[in-house]
Amino acid sequence: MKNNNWVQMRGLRPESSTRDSRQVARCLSMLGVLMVLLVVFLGLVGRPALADESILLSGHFGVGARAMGMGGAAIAVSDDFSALYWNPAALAQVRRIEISGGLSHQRYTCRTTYYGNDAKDRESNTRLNAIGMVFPVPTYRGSLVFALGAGRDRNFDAIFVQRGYSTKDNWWQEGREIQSGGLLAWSVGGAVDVSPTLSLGAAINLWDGDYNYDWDAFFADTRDIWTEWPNDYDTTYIHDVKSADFDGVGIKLGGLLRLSRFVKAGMTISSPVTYDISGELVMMIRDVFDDGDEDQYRETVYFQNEISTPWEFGFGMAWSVPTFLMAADLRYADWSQMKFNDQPLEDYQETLSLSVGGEYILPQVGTKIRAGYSSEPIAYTVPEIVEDREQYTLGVGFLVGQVMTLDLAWVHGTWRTSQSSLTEKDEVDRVFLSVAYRF
Amino acid sequence: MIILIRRLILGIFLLTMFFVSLGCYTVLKKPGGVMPEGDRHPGEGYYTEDWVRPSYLWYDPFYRWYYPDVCGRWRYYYAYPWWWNDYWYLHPGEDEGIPVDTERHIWDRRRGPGWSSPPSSPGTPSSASRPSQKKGKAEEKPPPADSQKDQERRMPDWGRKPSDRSSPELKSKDRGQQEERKVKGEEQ
Repeated sequence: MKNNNWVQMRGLRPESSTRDSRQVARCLSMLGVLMVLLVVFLGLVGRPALADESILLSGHFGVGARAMGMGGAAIAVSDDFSALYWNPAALAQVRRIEISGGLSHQRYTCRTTYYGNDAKDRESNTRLNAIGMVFPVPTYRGSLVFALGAGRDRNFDAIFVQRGYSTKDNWWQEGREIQSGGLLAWSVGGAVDVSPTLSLGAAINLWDGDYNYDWDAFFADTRDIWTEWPNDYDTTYIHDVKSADFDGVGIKLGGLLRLSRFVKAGMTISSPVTYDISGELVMMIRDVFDDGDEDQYRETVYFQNEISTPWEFGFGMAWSVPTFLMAADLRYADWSQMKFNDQPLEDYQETLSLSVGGEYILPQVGTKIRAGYSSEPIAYTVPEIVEDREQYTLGVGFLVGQVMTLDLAWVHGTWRTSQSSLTEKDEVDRVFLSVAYRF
Repeated sequence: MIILIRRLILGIFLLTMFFVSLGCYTVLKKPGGVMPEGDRHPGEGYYTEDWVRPSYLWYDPFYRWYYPDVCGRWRYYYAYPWWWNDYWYLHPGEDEGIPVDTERHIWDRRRGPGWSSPPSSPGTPSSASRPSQKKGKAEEKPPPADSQKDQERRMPDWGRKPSDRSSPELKSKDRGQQEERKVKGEEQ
């Protein structure tokens, strides 16, 4: 219902008011409303995507289908190119020249409930997972192996959708957010036997990545509550587009101890990485008022930030009998030590991730089958974590022509969070394909 | 960008220092000849031809353990070093590997005195013929006695002895075949 009180108070007839003065007044009030909307928006969705630092908490995506088929428990097990990322010291076990590559496919499903309204959306991406080579140096005793390549250890592909009527703010709110990108680690490393039972390794990782964010939302006064001028909003459209580039350098050290023919133990230390993040954020808002007027607002913000991640420690063990192997990994990081432009951050906690997996070789057939489980807690504490991040994995491996391996893995992960009147359940299904040729 | 490059250079430098500082258990260069028995001192290491050849042929016993004979194809993929000069294909209908063209390997210069035929892998039929590998390469002369002694004194014999390197079941089956092949190679 339109409200003409402003016209009566000013003693002016509506037709004699200038359009410009009304629009100026509306702009001023719109900025105020914009601030309110931002607070509402942030409070309602609280999307980690808005904070650069929490993008890095997307968890380790994983490199190599064999490792991912075993739940990511690869610190003491990896003996191919992927060891460059899981435990560089394990490269010492590679005895033949290897060229390998891999792809990953992810399907991300988001289900939300907002003030009793359900919404669901899905997005799929196929990316390069890894490419590289391993070169063992001929030795008379011990082992010296070098490797170089690229692996996608962080993936930012995600989707979020929300719709519902907020009785608190008296708006119908509907939004869709798409994130894409990831971090590729260009790595060079090697491993050497320092004793009959101990191998040490190290890798330098040059992190290079990009992040793209698109938030498309609209708010509608479906119950005609916002009717008083200048706040007689009918509909507000918001479209935020953000793009950023990531650069960083880190070092990973590893050790592998062969306790016996049956048992191996591995340990890794990953140095803190300071990411240089630069990009731009374009915010566009279009308001449509009850009387048909429209206002548009556009702002471009350029930013350059630094985010420093904490030290990460990993420990793994593997037990084997003929044709059967079991492995378990623990990874620890204290994300409360993460810094944004040298300032400590709140709302982050330390995490301890667990991965367990197994591999069995079918006799006579020679095919390997794998299964695993991993728990990778969410470090961001703002949303209430109803179900923490867990993944179940299956995998299979084939030997082709005695010189090539073909590995497949399927990973199914879920987690659930709750915040204010919004609950969100995320599901990821990932398929990894790795091919390696040794000669 | 400049900061990134500096960090990268520092990382490469640290990586290089890491590998340089790791000691000398891993041996890349073929050691010198045999130390005369009279010059051998207790507690000091020395190399002999009996040590050099088996160590060059050494492969991780884990893979022999994890991939038994029923899935031996995986063992060829994981266990045997590429510088063995033989590239093994499992021919259909046969249980054991048969050596094929051994002249293609780029590391031919690795073959020196001590074996006139390429090192063999376990299970190779003793009747398999190999093309002649001696293409006019001159044998290495042993270094002078004094420098040889110094070199050997710097290289302690760690842990593994030649007798420890293969599993018991390999020892009895393979060493016999290796010795047989060595004799045949020398006869050629």
